[in-house]
Amino acid sequence: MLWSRKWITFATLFALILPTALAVILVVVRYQTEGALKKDAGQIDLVVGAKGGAMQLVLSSLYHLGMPTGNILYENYETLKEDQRVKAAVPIGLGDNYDGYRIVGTESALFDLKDHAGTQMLNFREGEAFTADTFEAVIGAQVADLSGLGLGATFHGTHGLLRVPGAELHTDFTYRVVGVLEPTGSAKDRAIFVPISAVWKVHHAEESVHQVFKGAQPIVKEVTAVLVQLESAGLRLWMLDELKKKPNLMAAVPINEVLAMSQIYLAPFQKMLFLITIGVVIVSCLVILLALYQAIERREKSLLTLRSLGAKRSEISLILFYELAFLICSGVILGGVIGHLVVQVLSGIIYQKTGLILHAWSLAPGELPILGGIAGILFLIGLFPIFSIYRKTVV
Amino acid sequence: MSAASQEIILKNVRSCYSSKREASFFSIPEFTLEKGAQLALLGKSGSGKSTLLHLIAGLIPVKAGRARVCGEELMGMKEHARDLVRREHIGLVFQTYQLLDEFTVIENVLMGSFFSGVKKEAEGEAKTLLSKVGLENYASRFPSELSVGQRQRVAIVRALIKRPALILADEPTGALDRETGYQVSALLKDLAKEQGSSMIFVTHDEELASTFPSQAQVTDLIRWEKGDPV
Repeated sequence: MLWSRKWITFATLFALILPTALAVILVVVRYQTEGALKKDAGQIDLVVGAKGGAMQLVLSSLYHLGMPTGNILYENYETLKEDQRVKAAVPIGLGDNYDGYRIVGTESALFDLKDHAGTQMLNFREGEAFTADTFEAVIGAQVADLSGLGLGATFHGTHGLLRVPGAELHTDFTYRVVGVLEPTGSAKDRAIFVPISAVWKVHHAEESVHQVFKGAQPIVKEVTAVLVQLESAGLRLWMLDELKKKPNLMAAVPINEVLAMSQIYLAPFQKMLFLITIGVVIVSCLVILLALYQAIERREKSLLTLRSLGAKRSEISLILFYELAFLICSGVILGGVIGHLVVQVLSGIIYQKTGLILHAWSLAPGELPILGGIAGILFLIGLFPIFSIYRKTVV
Repeated sequence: MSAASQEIILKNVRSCYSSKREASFFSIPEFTLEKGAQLALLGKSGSGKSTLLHLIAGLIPVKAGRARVCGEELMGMKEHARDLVRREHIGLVFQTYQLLDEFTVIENVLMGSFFSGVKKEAEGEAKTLLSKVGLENYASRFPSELSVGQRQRVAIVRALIKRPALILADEPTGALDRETGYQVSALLKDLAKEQGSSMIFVTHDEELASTFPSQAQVTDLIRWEKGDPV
């Protein structure tokens, strides 16, 4: 019966697919982005850097976004590393970029970091870690995929954290790629890791050119931030207070800053999308209600003929009930699949723009209850026209 | 004549026919139809021919009296039970065929037995009946592709597919030209006789009615009353 009214069936299906797909996109993108953001933030207990904004410090050192708060002495890193409460500490030194990808000076200890579950955080797709005091580089998966750099490739850094036309190219120093990381779905995918000493050398040389009249200057060992893993997460606030008291240092708890960022920047956007989805659900409900009423009105004669052939009211209602159930289930399942398909397409764009990897086909918590809720509401609405035909008499 | 030999026994039946605007009350003092009989029911428009058929088919309830149809007592029977009597024992043929446009000829025919649960040999039976009415090559066509006479023949086959004890034909030739009407009525009579079904054939054509073994005027059977007589 549905096929014989295929156009109205397709229109009703479309009205079902649209809100379902939107709800799925909203829930999956929200869950996956939060998950990806927390992935970066959750495994590092503290970020220590120069005094400034806590969010700025976290964004620049963990997400490679925005400008850092300044530099601190390498000695500060060494002190932190020796602290008994610190399980692991890794320096971060920023200053240059290659084709917009930040060159991050660090130490090979970065590649040994393990998450709280004890799993290696970074793995090599190809090659190996750089050797200290060289100009070897390890590139993130997105850098490898999009920049054309591969194992053995050489490149020069450009001064500054962003790609700016005409920026100074450090042609005296050539980096050589010795390792490519596996994708992590985090900001590390779009970073180029080099020994911290290489960053110092490049900038010492640059400053020497600019201050040639002052004579030879010793290399200043500075770092932009230190990523710290503690022996226990309970030590975070303790060390946070302690570091705040130091005249030139500050610390931030990344996960707190991510949650705050999510609250400030992402929540209003998500709220707006949520309201749009609610609006679409309401409009779709009305469309479906009208479509069902119209469909049943057009079929009234046929349905009453079936009654005259001996079909009971309950049997006619059951036929319509099955049709409604089939339509709603098909619409919700198709809407769910299309929603995930859209996330799949979006994930490519998001990966290119931000480096975040969205797992388009994994179910987000709450997704099934939401789909069930939409189906339930539509089902309840669909019962009204069925009830109206149930009450009709043949003569 | 014993009750067992009667297909229909209506005695002092009272009921009403309700429309959206008003309810019309009527009574039937006495009406019987023997098993296997074929009766032509005559009457003008609005005289109650269809109302009588609706009452016998269980489409309107019996409010008082005795109403035995195909061995089932309709008086006091709930609607769903009357639905079961109709689906098991009665075949309906309408003036406007009432075929389902979205289904093919064979599907329309099978719809006649679908709710009675007669499914196993139904398709073969449907094809046999269609060939008897000359529509064996039209099984997969849609009603819109048939002439009005062919559509009525499909409606007849749909009514007969479940081999009903009683056929109620409500002016089945009303929308057909004279020649086709006579062909259709002859076909219906032959097939009903072949299956041993009783039949009430409503018409306003006295000449056509005279071809039936017995005739009755609806005005002799049904009385319209004012107010609720029950």
